[in-house]
Amino acid sequence: MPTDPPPEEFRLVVDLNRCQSYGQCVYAAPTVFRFHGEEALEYDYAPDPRTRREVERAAAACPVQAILLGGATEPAPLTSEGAQ
Amino acid sequence: MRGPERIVVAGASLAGLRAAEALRDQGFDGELTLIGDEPHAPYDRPPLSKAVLSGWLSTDHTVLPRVRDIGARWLLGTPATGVDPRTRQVSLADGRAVPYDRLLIATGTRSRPWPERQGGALHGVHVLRTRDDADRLRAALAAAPGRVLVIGAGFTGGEVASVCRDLGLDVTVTQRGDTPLGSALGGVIGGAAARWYRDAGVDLRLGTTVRTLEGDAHGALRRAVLSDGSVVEAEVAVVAAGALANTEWLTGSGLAADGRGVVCDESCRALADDGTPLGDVFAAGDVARWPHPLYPGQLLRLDHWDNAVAQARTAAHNMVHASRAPLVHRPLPAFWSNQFGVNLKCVGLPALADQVVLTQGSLDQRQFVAAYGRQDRLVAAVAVDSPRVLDGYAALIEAGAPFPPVLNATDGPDRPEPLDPAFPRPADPAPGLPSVAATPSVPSAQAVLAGHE
Amino acid sequence: MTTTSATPQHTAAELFAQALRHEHRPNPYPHYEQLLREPIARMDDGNWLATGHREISLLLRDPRISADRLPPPQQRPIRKSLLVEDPPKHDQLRQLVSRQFVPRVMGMRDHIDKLVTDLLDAHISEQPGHLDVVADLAYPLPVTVICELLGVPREDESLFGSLARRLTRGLDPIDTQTEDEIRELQETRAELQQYLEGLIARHDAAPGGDLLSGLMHSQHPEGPMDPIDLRVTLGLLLIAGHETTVNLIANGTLALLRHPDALARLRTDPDLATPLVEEVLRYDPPVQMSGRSTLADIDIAGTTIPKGSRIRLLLAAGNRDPQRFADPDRFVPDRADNAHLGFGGGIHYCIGATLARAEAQIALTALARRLASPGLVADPPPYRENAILRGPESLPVSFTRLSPDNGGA
Repeated sequence: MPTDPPPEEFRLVVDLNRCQSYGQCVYAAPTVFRFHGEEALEYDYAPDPRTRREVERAAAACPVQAILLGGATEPAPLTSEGAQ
Repeated sequence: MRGPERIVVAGASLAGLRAAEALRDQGFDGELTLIGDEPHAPYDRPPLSKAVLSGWLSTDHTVLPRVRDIGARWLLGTPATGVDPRTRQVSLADGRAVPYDRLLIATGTRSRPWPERQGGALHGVHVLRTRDDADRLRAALAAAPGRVLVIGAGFTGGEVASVCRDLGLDVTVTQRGDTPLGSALGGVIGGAAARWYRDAGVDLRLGTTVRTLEGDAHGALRRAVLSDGSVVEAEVAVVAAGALANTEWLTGSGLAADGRGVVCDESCRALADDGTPLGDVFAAGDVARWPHPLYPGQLLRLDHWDNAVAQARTAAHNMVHASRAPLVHRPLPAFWSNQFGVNLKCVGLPALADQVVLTQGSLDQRQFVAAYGRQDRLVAAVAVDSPRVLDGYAALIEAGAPFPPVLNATDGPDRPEPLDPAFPRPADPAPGLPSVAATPSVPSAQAVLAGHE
Repeated sequence: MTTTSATPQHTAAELFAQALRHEHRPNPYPHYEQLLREPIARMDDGNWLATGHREISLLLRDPRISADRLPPPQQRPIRKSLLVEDPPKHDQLRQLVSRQFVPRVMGMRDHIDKLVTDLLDAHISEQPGHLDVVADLAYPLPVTVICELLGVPREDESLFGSLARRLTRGLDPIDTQTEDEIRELQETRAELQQYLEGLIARHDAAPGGDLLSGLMHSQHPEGPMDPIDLRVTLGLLLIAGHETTVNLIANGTLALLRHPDALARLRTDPDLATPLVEEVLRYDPPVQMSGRSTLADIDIAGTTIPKGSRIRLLLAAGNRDPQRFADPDRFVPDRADNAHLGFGGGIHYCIGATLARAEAQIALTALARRLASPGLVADPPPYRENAILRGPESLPVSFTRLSPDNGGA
């Protein structure tokens, strides 16, 4: 079997005002999303890139579409840029 | 009419980032500069007091996704130190000046620090607002201190205390008022929250303040002396005593700004100190105070995640489309907190209420909804571990439904019994918190929504 | 909005009756589109119909709503199931079931994949050949899975399937049933109860690792479930497992065959299955409508639904609401922000959603990958009688070749 290139890093955020704790994300990507108690959702903003497919399933399955995946292609702003 | 060619966004957190993205969405194709005082890419703050402190997430796992390319110049780790609206320049701490055609002020708030003369400079005394704060506090908690003192039982204080208990740490929480969350949600709901604290094994000291923090010869925190004279031995203290707006850099700019925030109009245009709106300076997020059409007679400042996002979008639209009718920012306030294993969500402004009624569940069961009314109108609702019914209440609030609402919910009480929500009296605001020049009978929404007394 | 004088204006009740007619089962959507002009409508019989996405979403999350459909007293079941029960009882039952159900479902993708492979492999000698996607895949897959989960012996599947089919008829709008049908329904219910009693007795004697054994021996503070609740819940899960995912897979297959571009994309990009199944749930949902009743007067969409009213929530119409979805009548396999109502919403959100999604994603991907030149033998295919749990009776598909499973992507 050919090996895939290493998956790219990705990021996500959940709008927890919109979230109604249906748990579909927890069931789809249990290493990325979890409940603390019955209804309090916690999640990893920068999960293991290998979970990408699971996280996409989680985002698609969210009944209130509260999960936002990053869509930028430019590099992250890590350091300050000098003035011209 | 030509649009702006240079836009500067001062503040590179949630509001600043989403505003920058919205500016590009709105078609702005000029030079875009983001200025941030922290050296980090924009990250999300809510997990800092929960998943980060508990050790589940490291802070580099809180960086926000960027939803689109923005082609911006990022000036991170370089605080803005001043603005001159006449020459249209922002000056930076490193001496540089950045010119603009439009400026967005999104510099947010910071934690109110503990006064140095009362022990605030001791090693072991923390606040929790930034990534770096969270890293420091996380390290301190991971070192297994004998006891943690949390000063203030607002939302942040409760979340920190909750994590400490999850980590098996002894924790004492002091609270000036009679219950946790009192100024945000009132004493009735706060009374339920007090049980969450105590059931979790928190040593909760109500009606109590910290007089001084005391250290050892090496300058490390050892104990706190409380207002009742008692002494709490603790190596870590977390000051969760509210927030101050980051507006010092605007001093002398002629803008209407002080420790409570930057005053702007409902279309996010900043006001000069004579009350006239500027056409080229805008404000959004935690730092902005504005007259919300739903709550006349006062200026509102919301420390709310979705407000930052929504206000950033509105501001961005109005910055780019000066010739169109401006959008008005009039969100229904909404926020949430996770603490002691419960999810608490709120819509509307409880602090305005003169009555509260339990509509679903029971206060003892950690699963309930309470509705707040003001002058016989529904103004807010709080849902504890009941997130799937809150939209129904939000629609009722927006429709100006009567209070108490007639719901007949199957898990509701047989007879609704409205109560005084037991907010701290408006005439007796928490010392140290600024009050708002507002309708005198209305508790200051600004002070209350900052909420972490 | 204007009305043309050439076409007479139909009332909501007339339009809804039209939509329910069996001849319109293949495509009720034009009727729904007309109903959407009045997102909340009062019917001639005093019942209400909700069609707007916003209105349905709000009603599903409104504390003034009961899940009880208020059937006439003589048709009331002995004990209400989760589906029609309200808080606080609903919440206790749901928590017990979900604690047993969800963990068993979460790791099932590989197993489902194996079942799909085996079902399709059975036809591998036919080149070219025919497949009835309903009988050969869409029906046996979810039925096998739910029976395994619950602990129903394989040899009981056919008995159970016939009970489920007969009971499903009972979900249709009450006013379309004859007295004979109602009597037969009651007899079927009794048969089901009898069967379940036997099943429970066998599990009591010899508990296994299945969900039924889990419910019977739950250590949870709310458990174990009382025997009547246990029978009612089991019946609900079994019927739901037999009658809903079948339609999801069949409706999805139909959408793929009618949209060859989407089929071609899925063949090379299995990740497309994720948004594609959501789009099937929006575009052609297996559960077309749900019911509720009002506990108080509800002001909505400029009208007042009085306390004690029955409301039908036309989920499939809300899914085509142009106020919520751009180009709602187009099948867009990678549609973004797809907050469809296919699984309902609020406290009664489908408990089996995760399982249904996995089964449909895997089944549709396998069909797309393995069938060469698939074609609909009849378009539209014949539809089942049921208007609520709506789907094809059979779905014959021709193909030139059924390739062996190569382990997938």
